[in-house]
Amino acid sequence: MKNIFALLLLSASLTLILTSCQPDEIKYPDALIGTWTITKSERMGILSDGSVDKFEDIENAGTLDIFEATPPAETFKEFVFNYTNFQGDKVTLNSLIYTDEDKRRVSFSKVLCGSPFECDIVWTVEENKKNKQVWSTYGNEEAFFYPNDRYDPTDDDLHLKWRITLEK
Amino acid sequence: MKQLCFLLLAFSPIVGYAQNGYSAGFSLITEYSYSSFDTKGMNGFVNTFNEFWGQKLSKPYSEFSGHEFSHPKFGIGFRFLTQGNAGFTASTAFLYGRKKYQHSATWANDVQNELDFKVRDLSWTVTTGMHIRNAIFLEVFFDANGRKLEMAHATIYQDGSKSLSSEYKLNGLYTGKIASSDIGLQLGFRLGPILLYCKPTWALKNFPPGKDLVTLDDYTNVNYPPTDFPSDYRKYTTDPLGYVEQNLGVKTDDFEGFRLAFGAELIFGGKNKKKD
Repeated sequence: MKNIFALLLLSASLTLILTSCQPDEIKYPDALIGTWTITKSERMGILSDGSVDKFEDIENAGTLDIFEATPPAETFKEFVFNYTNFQGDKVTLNSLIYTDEDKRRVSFSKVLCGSPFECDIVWTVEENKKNKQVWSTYGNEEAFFYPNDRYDPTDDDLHLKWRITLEK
Repeated sequence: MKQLCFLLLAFSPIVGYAQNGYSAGFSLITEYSYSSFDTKGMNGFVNTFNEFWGQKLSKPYSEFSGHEFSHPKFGIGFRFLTQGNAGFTASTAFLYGRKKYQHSATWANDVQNELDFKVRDLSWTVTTGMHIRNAIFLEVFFDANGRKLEMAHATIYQDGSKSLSSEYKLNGLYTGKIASSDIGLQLGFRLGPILLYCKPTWALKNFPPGKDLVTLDDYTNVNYPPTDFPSDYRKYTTDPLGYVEQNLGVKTDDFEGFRLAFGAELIFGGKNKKKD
């Protein structure tokens, strides 16, 4: 039985090593650091027949600056988002930016309100290249980001999409 | 099975060391691992979700069979064996495999909910046992298996846009790490440099211990709790406080279980020496 216990112990040790080798915190990809131009901003409604009705389609809509946080942090960076919409309204957002392990989502932290919950703008990464990023965020006919009904998509005839194209 | 493990472990070294000499060699390994997981958590979600939305779904989720994450594995290893008609053999190897799998439901207005799984397995395996004429191998098997599970819940709109954003609460990227140890048998037949084997293994439940929730892997708490993936969708939606208190999220250790692997080990070396 000693052999069995020795092998089990060995196996448990290696399991722990294997799992501990996986980083608990994910480093923010440094490749995103820098100044990006919002070369395109498109806001649209997605109709139930699959057609798309654009109500904003503008070029050079602003900039996104991503830079090292103060003090420096591995898991997030700081950003300044300067955006001008099709009506000429200017928006400046300045906060922390996070991503997930596979960089499938990017979050602008606490830019909609001060609460720890439901205040982030969460972008879905559609295209991820060194010099070009395409990010989208969504809503339904009530609102972008956090509409009141966040469970049932059949209540809405229209879904909203905001897509930005960023280039370095 | 315990007795068989004990006999193989206890007597194989004696048989082996009774012979003269030994040989060893590196090996390349490929296998198909037909694996199962405990569907209680995921099918709990599927059934409560389908029941909660009923007629609003034109195509409800189908139940998980538990074999969705079966996949091929590849690796390298090292095998040791003693000489003689019957002898001791042992091996160790690292194996890696991954699988992608998608599961979806469609709403009455053609919006889809999609579960997009990505599973990566890294195993360290140890076998020990006996061989007969370097042709038939009977071994016990242990491994330490690290499984990384990612499950993206996306909303797919009628124009094909795929959202992981916050407009629907379930959207997100859920991840879990599953550390498991497995025990089993490996039965092999060697043809020249190739050892063909079959390997049934069982996960040792709670070894190592821990029942983590599959949780949102994002640095922000985008949602009010609950933020883990639910095994009871009705409770998640209608009584979130009760859901959190009762800890009804899908558990990561649901994603381990019985495996049946068929494989081939190409051994470089490890041959019986010819008699003078």
